[in-house]
Amino acid sequence: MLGANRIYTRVVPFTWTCASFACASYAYLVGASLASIGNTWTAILGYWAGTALVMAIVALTVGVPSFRYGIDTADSAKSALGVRGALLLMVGIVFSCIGWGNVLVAMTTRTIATLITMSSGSAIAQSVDENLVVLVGIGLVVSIWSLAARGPQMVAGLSRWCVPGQLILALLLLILLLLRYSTATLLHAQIPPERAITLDPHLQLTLAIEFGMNNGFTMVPFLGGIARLAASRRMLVTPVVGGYSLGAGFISGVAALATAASGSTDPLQWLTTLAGPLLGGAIMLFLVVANVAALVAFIYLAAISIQQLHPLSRLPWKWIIALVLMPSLIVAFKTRAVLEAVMELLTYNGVMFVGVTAVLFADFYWVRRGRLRTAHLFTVSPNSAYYYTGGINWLAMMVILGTTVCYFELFNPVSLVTAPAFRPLGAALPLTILAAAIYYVATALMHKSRAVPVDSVTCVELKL
Amino acid sequence: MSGSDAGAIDPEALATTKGFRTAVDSRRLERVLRDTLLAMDSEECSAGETHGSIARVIIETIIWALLSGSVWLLLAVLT
Repeated sequence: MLGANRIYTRVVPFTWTCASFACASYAYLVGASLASIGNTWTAILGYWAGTALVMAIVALTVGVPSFRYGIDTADSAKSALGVRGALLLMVGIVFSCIGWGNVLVAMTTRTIATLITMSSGSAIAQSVDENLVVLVGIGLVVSIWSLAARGPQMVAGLSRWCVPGQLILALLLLILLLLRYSTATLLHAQIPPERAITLDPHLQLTLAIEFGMNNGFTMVPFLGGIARLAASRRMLVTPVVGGYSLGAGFISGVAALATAASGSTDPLQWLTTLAGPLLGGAIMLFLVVANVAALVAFIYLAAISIQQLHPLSRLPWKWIIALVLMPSLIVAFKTRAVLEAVMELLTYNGVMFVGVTAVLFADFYWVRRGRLRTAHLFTVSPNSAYYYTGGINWLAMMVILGTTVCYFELFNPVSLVTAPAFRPLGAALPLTILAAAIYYVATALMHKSRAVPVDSVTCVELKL
Repeated sequence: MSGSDAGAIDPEALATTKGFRTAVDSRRLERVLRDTLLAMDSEECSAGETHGSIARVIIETIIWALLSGSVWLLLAVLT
């Protein structure tokens, strides 16, 4: 993507697009998880701090190379992972985009079907007609296809309306909470101690920060594809970190307060309690319809990633979007199963990118000194500056694998089992620093003994 | 393993190298794609707004890191 073709020339639309990844229905589920930590305000502020800190690192790691060279993360990562090794990241990107996209499809579908059922008479729909769910799901997938097929301009256009809408509704919910429970109640709102994950105040803080950091690492697959569309470096950090972390922190914070104050983890239930069935239903309907901005962004990013695959690179854009949406059609028939199974799988999503971020950061800033050669990224020849044996940088792979294994030794984000070493600083931050240092030292040692003269590149074989 | 990334390729030389063009043409790439890659290399070496210094980016990152780190520290002290 050359400078002249970049669609984000102003900071505000770019901020909305970055925030769109945070401002979706799952932010309300995250809020319920935050409340379960035990101390609501520690959880909210710690979650924001963890998200902002990691987003700053992620913006530097994947945002800067993609912005500087106009390429997706799957391409810029080739210097660190190898031309074929970057396929691992591409799989991660596609998995994340399609995974989160399908969770949103399932959530949106079930909520719309529930609201339709409720509007037909019953106050709280206990059982939703599954045929209705399938119909709504198919309709949603077709709508997403027609929107995503219009390209990145549609992502920017939808974000401009949906994200402010989500934030205004979250503010409205906060006002409704204040009207119902009073400021003093909300300042001390906590779930009952027997339902808290831990009663240790320091572990509560570490868990909140770790949740936030994990959330930040989930942006690794998405940010590069967006940063390559930015026209100015002013957009690279503050709009990304501020837009995403404040959006995620605010919506999840409101949901955490509502959960702690009402005692219910189901957003539809506490919304109905707060605003009444009619207004609560209307707010919920807007919240899920506004998911469309994040959904279209996920599908667009997955599509540009799989375009890197040679057999798919020449397919028309509309066909690629249809291909990416194929799993969503299956999801339309199995929404409940997706919400249960995929959500658990996606809990590990951030962990997948801890080691990747460390390696990409060390490689781009310390090994390459912030410079890449675009043509070489598309080269499989030994003459390439980024040639590795078999096309894979095994050193990077070992560091990524080692980091992931160590992470699970320290903390399991699903079972929430922690090692004693987790309590002081958590797992993500120390492991990221350690992995980056190990990768840099090992690369420096190996390259010292085996340097390839990159100036010999006169004939570059492009693999496209 | 790849070697160190020292040294620079002159984008003009890369763009006009016969071998490069031959390799590209032999793969029957679309003209637009080839031109884009050449332009990307050239643009990367220009000092335009898109590819200018990243000092500002690093300063902003440090500010955000300090801000979030302060909140972390404050919470740690309070708990």
